[in-house]
Amino acid sequence: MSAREVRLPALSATMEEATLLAWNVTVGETVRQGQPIAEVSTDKVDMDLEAPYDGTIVELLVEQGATVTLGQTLATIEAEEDDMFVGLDFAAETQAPSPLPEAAPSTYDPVPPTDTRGGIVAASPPARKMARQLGIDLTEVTPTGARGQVTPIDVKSHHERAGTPPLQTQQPAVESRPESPAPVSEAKRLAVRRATVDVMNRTALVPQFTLWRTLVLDRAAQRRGDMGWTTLLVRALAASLHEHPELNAHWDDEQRTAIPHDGHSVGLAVDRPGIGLVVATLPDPSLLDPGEAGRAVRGLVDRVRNGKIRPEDMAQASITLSNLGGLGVDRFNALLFPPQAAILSIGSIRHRPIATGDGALKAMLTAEVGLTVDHRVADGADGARYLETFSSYVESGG
Amino acid sequence: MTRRDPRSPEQAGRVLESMWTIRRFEEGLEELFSRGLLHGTMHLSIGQEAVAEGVCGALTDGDMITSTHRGHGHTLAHGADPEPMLAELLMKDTGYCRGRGGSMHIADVANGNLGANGIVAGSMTIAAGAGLTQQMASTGRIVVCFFGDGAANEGSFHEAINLAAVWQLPVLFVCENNQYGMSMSQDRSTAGGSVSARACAYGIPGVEVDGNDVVAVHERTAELVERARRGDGPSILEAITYRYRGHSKSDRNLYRTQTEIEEWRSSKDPLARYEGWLRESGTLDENEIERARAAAKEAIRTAVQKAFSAPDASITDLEGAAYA
Amino acid sequence: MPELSTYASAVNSALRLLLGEDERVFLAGEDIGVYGGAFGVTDGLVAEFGEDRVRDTPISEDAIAGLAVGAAITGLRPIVEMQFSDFIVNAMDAIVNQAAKLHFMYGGRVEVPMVVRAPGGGGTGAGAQHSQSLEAWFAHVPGLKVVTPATVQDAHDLLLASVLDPNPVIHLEHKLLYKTEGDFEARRRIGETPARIGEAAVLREGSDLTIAAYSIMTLRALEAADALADEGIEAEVIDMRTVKPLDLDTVRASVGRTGRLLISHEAPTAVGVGAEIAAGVVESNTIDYLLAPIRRLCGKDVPMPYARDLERTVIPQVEDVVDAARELMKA
Repeated sequence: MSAREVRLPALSATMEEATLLAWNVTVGETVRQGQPIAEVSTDKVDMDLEAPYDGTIVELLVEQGATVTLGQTLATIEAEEDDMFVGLDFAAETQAPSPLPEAAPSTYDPVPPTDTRGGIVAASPPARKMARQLGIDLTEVTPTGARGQVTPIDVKSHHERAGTPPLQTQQPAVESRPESPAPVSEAKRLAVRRATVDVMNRTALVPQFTLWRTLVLDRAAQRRGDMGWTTLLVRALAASLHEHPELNAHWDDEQRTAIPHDGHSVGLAVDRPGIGLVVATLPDPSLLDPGEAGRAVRGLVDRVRNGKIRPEDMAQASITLSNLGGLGVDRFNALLFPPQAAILSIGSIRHRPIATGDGALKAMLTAEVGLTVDHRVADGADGARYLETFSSYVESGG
Repeated sequence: MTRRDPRSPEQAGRVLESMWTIRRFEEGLEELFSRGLLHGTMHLSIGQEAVAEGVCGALTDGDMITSTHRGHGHTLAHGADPEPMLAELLMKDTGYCRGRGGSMHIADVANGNLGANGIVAGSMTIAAGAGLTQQMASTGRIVVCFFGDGAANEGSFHEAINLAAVWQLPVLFVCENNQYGMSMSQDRSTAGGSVSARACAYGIPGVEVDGNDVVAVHERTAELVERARRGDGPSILEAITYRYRGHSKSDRNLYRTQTEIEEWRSSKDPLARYEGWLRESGTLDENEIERARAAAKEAIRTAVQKAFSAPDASITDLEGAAYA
Repeated sequence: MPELSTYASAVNSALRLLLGEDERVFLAGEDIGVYGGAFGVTDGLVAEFGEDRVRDTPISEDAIAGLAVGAAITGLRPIVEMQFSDFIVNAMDAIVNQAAKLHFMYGGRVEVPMVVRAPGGGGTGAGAQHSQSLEAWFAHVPGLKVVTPATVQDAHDLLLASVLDPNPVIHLEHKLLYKTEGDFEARRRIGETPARIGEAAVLREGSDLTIAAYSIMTLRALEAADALADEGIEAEVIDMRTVKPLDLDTVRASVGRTGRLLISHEAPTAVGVGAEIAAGVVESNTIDYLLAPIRRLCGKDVPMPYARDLERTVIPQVEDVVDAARELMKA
């Protein structure tokens, strides 16, 4: 026998207190476990409070109408069954749990995709949209986003710094495609100008000469099918290099010898109006079939124009094609891009009067090409032989 | 050779202690709950001790059980230590399930307790699968599947018993019929009125027993276990019993009368009946009875004290813990 | 030395290897014995391994899955078959409430190494109750793994990997794939499988857009990619191979390069696996590399119709993938 407490139990999952409506028993009364000894009201519902033990009511501690909190003692019972837990210390200190190791990393990776072959500039979608609407090249915008991305604010401040677009300069064009000049940053234009100056200062030190030739292209026009002129020209340039390895080298002043280039890639000079001249590289197009080569050319030009240049687009080329034909130029002497030893210029492809050999004149589709050669690497005759191979290739339609 | 024969003078003390341990454990939980020291809810089996002990005492070590949401008694009778059981309910790291399972999911698979289940009839097909393992590996062990009267109306009951019968698996399906599902009485829910009577549909034995008579439960269990061990297949043992407490802690007992509860408590209580039988038959004397009671109380007191001071459940990689 | 085999044969070969090498493995399912399984996948196995290891069951999907749980936690390695993945619904308690949870609920002290195999998908005129793709249901349950092999080799290798995994794995095959043929090399030991659950595979590289797909849509995506190449569009095709856990890293890396993502699965769009892939991409840095909105090309939100033309409209076809890719390139 021992005096035991009757506490307010959790009569529902959410209750925290109750009101004692009435006692059903009096002090001294014998009760059975489970017998209702009071009525309480909680969560707007009236419920019975049951005796938790068999025994006799010793005291009723709460008055009718009073509010009782969860776990509060309402009465004591002299119970037949002793309290099993008498003497136990429930407030005993709990042992500390073992220290938790680092939480697993979240799916949000702060490190950008390491594979940047796609050449896409990281920009939040709103920033990308804004840049597109304003015609801003994302490669020119300084990113300040937490993920390393260009933010709309970055695009906006870049736009505000941009001056009026400069006058169109005469730049090499490819495939005479019209492109409306987009307003671009003066900073970008100046950067490209300066890069060109560096190249020109270097090329000024190279002794170079230009060999001229007229290509007759009527047959080529028919036989090339849907292969673009640029594709035909770059394939011809690369294929001819295979046959004339002496031009596929660069002069090394220290070793005083020509060192062969790796591969037979062809540079394409691409005009970006308002920005300047960008030269990007096509890996040996003579190894691809015409369709693949065409796709490669188009892809490269697109990437350059959209600012999606990939690292491999900037690889070293063996020879470059420079084309001003789209802007009405008949012929020009292109200057070398060191360490290349050759560059081919081409003017406009149009009909011109040509003597056909039997004394007559005929309007034929022609173009004037100029092969500029580094005289340290090769002589005039070498250049001429290369030009012969190249011309046959092109004139036969590839 | 069963683990604890209630008729044997050498073993009766342990049988009585086992039943009192269950009673004290459940009452202890009530006490802790009333003091606000327990989280969630509990499904107490006070009044059903003879079923748990009568069945589990008739097994041998190595046999397995599956249990229900009202499974503390089964778990203890099958050999669980009260301390990690309490620790589990107290959300401690030393609990059987490291605080992740709670009252309804206590398991100790390595020691033959394949787990309590929170889904009614949820462990019946699992028991059949465990029985299949014993059969395929010829271990000679059997599986006891505890389930309640409510579970007998779940589809899993039918699928599990049919499959066990067709494949003659060594499983004993024990229906602990305390006559109420949650609030639904058996006569309102169970067509045909008897769970054991359904056994004949599967061509297996169906035996009814007074679930509050631990000696009778033990004897019937031993017979059916022997049958399963022989390879003669499964059977259904329906033990009629009664729970004194509500279904869970939020049960206000509106579906039955206080009189009914009182009647079972005062005249059919399994502990009182066994003690009476022990005295009448002279199997145990008063001292031995008292010793069993005291040992049970002490075991629960010790378990509670230790469990309380154990470190709380903690988890490092919570999401990773879902996978082995 | 690789030879040509069918997808169904590749699964059969994996089962044969599993039964032969590991005595804990057994199969159970409806009509898998003498009948050889509804799609012939278990042909010949009962003759070779006996009725104890290859068990015909009554029509009791709940019990089939439940017995797998019980057998798995007591030391066996069950591989059970649901005749149609639609019937797994009858076993949801055993799979979702039991198999998926026991390891966690029991404090990490129990493992449930079981595999549930089932054919899913439409295109056979079998109607609404025999044509579903329910992988998203299972992927949403912590504790389950879900694999969806598309290729003949994966049907073999991923099944081996599934059995090696100590977790419950749902191995969903597509009915139409059973007859597809491909290069196949049977493994000689279970442990030789190179497949890893949770690893996607880039089956085709491309720089213009990424197509993430699984199961039959992987094959359709590859066909579409060939057609797209003729138009100058190079698609990168990723076969997810596992739906849970999803290999989002591979998708993110690819989309970081291409900037455009097309996700395709046969299961309906709403709340499907595709939504999870899309979320996984935009909740990472990869959002800054997107050049266009993510596009999902998935099944329509309707029960599978019976009529062939209606069925074809519900399930994405090769032409649909091509159209969607073209649109994505313009977006």
